[in-house]
Amino acid sequence: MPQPSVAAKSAFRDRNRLGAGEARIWALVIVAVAYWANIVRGANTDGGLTLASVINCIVDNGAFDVFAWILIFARASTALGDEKASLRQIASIVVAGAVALVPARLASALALVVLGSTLLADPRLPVALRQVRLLLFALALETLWMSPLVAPLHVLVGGLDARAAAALLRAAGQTATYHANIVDNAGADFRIAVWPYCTSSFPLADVSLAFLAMVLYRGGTWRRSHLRWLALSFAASVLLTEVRLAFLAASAESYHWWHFGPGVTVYALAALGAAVAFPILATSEPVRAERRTIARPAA
Amino acid sequence: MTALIRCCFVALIVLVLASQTIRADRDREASNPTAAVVERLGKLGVQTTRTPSGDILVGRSPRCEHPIAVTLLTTSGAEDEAKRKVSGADVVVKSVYLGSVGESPSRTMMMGRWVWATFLFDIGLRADKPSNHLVMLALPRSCAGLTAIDWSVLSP
Repeated sequence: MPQPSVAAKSAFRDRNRLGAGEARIWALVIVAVAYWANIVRGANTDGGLTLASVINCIVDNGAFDVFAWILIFARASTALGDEKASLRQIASIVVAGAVALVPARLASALALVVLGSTLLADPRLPVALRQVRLLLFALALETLWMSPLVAPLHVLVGGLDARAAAALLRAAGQTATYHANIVDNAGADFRIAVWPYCTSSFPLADVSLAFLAMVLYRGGTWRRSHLRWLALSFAASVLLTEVRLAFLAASAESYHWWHFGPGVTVYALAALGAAVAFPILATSEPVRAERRTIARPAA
Repeated sequence: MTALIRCCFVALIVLVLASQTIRADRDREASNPTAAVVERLGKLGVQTTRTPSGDILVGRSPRCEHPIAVTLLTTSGAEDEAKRKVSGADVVVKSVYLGSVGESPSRTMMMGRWVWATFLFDIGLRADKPSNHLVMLALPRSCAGLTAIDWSVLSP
């Protein structure tokens, strides 16, 4: 009877052991399923679940969320290695999975944090893979930021936004006042309420996720010097929201244009442009510094 | 052993999807909050009609000849403005939220109640999904009989 070769035995052994890389992929799949299932459930309240509605929910949730997950899986799959999964790694997957079982968005955020701080925190992992956890944390922050737990903060900011929008309108020569989260444009006999999801603070978690995803996509690693670009990105987002609120409160026609008409696309494009431009500037900074170094001796 | 671990991972994914499906069914059971408030007001003997603008219900109770203004608000910053609308020297404003009745409930208190109720709902110890609506009542100050009513039953 022919004996199995050493290569065949080795292949069989490889198939029958759980590698650390494979374990990481399993963990990410479990948490990703929980993350997206929560989003689809939350957006699809009428009960008619079709493939098209699922795809719509995913796309509507934000392009950068999809982008971040693609990046996470792309980086995780490039560092599979041949190291065997430890008991500790399997235990952390089970813990993250158990947390993700709770059908609440905050639970999936907690599962992301658990995964990021256990499975991807190993200092022996390549930096590119370890930085994936920053994306997991950013996704968790985004989930928390948009949850009702943080709504009181957005309500507070809504009052400040109303004040800023009224100031912008007055600067433009209109008669505008504010009280609580209401901008009252007496000149145009029009008023708007700044709800939590319209405030300038609301998109900031999205902005930070977009910034991080773009930085990592451009092959960079997160550096402390990126923080000032992130701060500029936040400032641009806040400014954009204040200007939009001022346009919304300008008149009923203007409100309709900016809230339901082509203004929605204009605002989305402007926000997207800002979200993409700052990380590009941040990651091209060393190149410019290099250019200066080269240019100096030549001068 | 490895095959078993892989099966456990697949089972976890299936369980995650199952728990989401069950939660979605429970979420859908939440009824129209305005209709629920009208029904509960009826049980307290308060008959309601809508104002022309539609955002305020006007209640009539046999205990008071003056109307009661009832507003259903989301807990998202609209409270201050609504309170300003219904306030006056001749009315007492009360807010009802998740079983508590107060003249000016703090946002922290409301959030605390919402977090606790949501936690109980998420782990299956609470049947109905906690609402993000609060009921604001403007009770005529002259009708002392109205203060004896247990308004907490209006709680969404």
